[in-house]
Amino acid sequence: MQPDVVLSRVEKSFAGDAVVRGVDLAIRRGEFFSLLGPSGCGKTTTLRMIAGLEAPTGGSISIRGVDMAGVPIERRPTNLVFQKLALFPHLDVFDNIAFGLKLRKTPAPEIRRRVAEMLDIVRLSGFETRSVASLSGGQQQRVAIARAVVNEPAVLLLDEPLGALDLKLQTHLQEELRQIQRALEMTFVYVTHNQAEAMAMSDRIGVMNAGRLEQVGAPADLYLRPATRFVASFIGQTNLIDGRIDAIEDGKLRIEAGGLRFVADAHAGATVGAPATVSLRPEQIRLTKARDDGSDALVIADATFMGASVNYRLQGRGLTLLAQATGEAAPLPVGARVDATWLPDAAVTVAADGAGTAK
Amino acid sequence: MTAAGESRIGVALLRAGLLCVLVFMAAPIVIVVVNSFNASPFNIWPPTGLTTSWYAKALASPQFQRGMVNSVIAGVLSTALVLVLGTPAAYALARFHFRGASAVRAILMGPLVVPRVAIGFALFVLFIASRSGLYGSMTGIVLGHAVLMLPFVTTVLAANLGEIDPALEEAARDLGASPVGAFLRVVLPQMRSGLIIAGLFAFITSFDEVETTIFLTKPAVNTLPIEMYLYLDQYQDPTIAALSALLIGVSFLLLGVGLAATGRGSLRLLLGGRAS
Amino acid sequence: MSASTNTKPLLLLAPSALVVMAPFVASLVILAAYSVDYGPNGVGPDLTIWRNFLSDGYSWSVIATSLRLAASVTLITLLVAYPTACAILRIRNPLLSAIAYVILFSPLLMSVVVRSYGWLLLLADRGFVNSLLAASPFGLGPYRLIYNETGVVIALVHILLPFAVLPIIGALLQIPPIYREAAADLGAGPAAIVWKVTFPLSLPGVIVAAEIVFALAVSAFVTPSVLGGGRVLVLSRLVYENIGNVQWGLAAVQALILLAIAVGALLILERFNRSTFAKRAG
Repeated sequence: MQPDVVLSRVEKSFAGDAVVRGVDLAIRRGEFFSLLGPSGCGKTTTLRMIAGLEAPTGGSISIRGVDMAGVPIERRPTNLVFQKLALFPHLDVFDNIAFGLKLRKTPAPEIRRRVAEMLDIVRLSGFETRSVASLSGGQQQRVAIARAVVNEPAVLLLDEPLGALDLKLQTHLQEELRQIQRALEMTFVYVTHNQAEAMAMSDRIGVMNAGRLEQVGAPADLYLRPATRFVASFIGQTNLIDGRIDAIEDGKLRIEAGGLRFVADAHAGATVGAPATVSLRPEQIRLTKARDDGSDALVIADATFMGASVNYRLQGRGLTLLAQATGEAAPLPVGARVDATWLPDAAVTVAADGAGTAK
Repeated sequence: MTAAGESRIGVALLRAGLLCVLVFMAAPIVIVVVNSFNASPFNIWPPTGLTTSWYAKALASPQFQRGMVNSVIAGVLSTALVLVLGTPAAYALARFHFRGASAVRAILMGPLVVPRVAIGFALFVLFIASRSGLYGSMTGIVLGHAVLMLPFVTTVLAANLGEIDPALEEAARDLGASPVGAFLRVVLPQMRSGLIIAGLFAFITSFDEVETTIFLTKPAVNTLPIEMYLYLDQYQDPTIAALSALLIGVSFLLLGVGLAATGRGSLRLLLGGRAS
Repeated sequence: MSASTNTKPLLLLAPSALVVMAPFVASLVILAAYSVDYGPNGVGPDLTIWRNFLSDGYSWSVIATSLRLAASVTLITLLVAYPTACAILRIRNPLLSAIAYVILFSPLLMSVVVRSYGWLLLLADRGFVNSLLAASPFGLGPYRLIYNETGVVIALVHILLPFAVLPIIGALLQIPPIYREAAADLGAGPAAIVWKVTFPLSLPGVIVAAEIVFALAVSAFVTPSVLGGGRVLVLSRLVYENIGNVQWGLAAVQALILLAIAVGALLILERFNRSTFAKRAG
């Protein structure tokens, strides 16, 4: 199926400062797509360029096969849910939601029907004549979503709309948003800096850093097979270990670092003796008490009890490793000497930042 | 104002001082109202008797009647003109960063610095030299008042616009409004208090103006303050007090309307407008 | 919404520029032309009018009167305005506070002619103030309070006080209370807090107040005319009289000198403002 939104080689710079650098991206019809990255990574600028609030300084954006160059905001098949909501303070809930429909000269009975339908979806029926200032944060949030969705845009753009809410409400609205998106089968492009939020809601995530798209993939892909150091460390916790390729056998790399050995899938251009970085998730590491003679065993420098798990900081062999132990095993004491083991395919090699394989 | 270290004597002195200042501010206005009933034609204190005849005289005066009409016309027209011109100018200053913005701001603020007598005389010479027929015409007076009021109106409206989130316009555009449509539907309704304050002050400025107007006017288009000034030059009987008392009444009426229409936002806007 | 091009803001500014600012700028240029006797009927450009005016002792005495009047009005107004602003911000009762604001600022709504006339009534030889003084146990007066500079100064302070209080209140409101609390916590007494914290931080507001008051005082016309009764001669009055006498070149010179004084005072105060800011930053 033809993708809904296609970005090719999109660039944006403000007064010579490059904010978005050569982003290529295809967002599929009906998917919940998140742009994830730290603040200042260019994700909001990318979203604003899709909406038409900013013009790219290079590259092109097309929506449903139509090039958007020169198409003003008001004629794009997109609607935006703003970060600070931007509800119109002088209009009540009904008039806020009906704003777009009225501009399109929709007949009054149809406006009433569609707004009522929308209010039902966001569970705000009966709030028509309330002023937006009298609503709670979560209710204002729903009005902002309804105001955009009621216009039935091809693509709904959301700019960190849940950022200002408390954690419990955030989680609740995440579920609601996901349900609305599934029910309407609408393409959502969601910008956030919160990796847990992106993981919870998205079909696919594009991870951005310093204006570049580092990797695009399903949440599990990003977690299990991060392409770059940045993606590995931004999504979840990880150990990044710099080592050297010892051998290449049967499409597998054997990597040695500080006396520890790793096996990872080979990537193109890997040569014996070349430096390589591996990512190893803390929960993949299993700890056992070291044998008495283990002169180069690891030492537990720090242990933090987290309830369902215990986080350990290990030192030795010139390395610091994080490990996470779950289950019934009794916590190991600080200062204990331990051996660390992991399954052969637990580690992955990651590329330097910006060298992502995202297309 | 938290009471982080205050001496009692200091506070008491401050309060007494404020009371004196308030008496000082109210005194000339109170005396005008009281004196409008003074039977003595020579403004002698204490009043020699009470009368309302000065009101009758003031209201019957053809000069004052004509002046009143001219003042209302000049006030309404110049206020309308300056709001229509000032709103886009304020929008440009509040929403865009552009080369030469500070120069534009300086020129816009010019009439605040230049003495009104100099502006009046300069406009008089321009009106005569350009053979435009503006000298001694209502159009000329309206134009002159607009020159004086534009800086204030632009400052207040720009401060007002600065408080309105630009994202609201983006939201309106995103929902299908054209740039002008977004301004009219979303920004303008929220400029209400700014427009009322700027308009009210523009009207009052125009209604009070002597220093510039006196150079631009001919008897047929004399405004009320001009007529009062010319009257005071010759007579000092309480006719002028009666007229003044009527104007004071109207001022308080306008103040009440303005406060009721804008609420608490008015002082903040004034402070913002003045201080910037 | 930051446009990279200049066209949009310039388009928005164009109407004001055409209708209001162009005549303003043009009239100043014409004023300058008249002052050098350059025009349809003039012979200039030459500086005869300037030379004659500036070599006349009488002109200098009028300039001196204008400056003295404006300076004393500015000083007195600021001395009254600062404690007034402090006091009015301290009122906690909302009704009393509203009453104080109305009494302080409502005179702005009233014509300068009305207010000057009010002072004429108060200060007249047989007016309210003199009758009060005579009725006092000391049986003072009567004093001559009108048709001299005293009356003009009193009335101008009254007229300009609201303009001075407004920016000072604005500046005081911008000082976070936490600074005063911190100073008190560090052991500063009430006087030290005012002198070392509040006053220096509110100085920009005081300077704005001084700029506004001086500019309005030096160019005041109605009040010096009404309360000076023709005996207090200031530049703005001379401009008016010379136009009546069809001495336009002379009036232009006087108007430009008035303008120069107003702009000069503004530049000096702005410089002062910047140097206090620089000191604080450094």
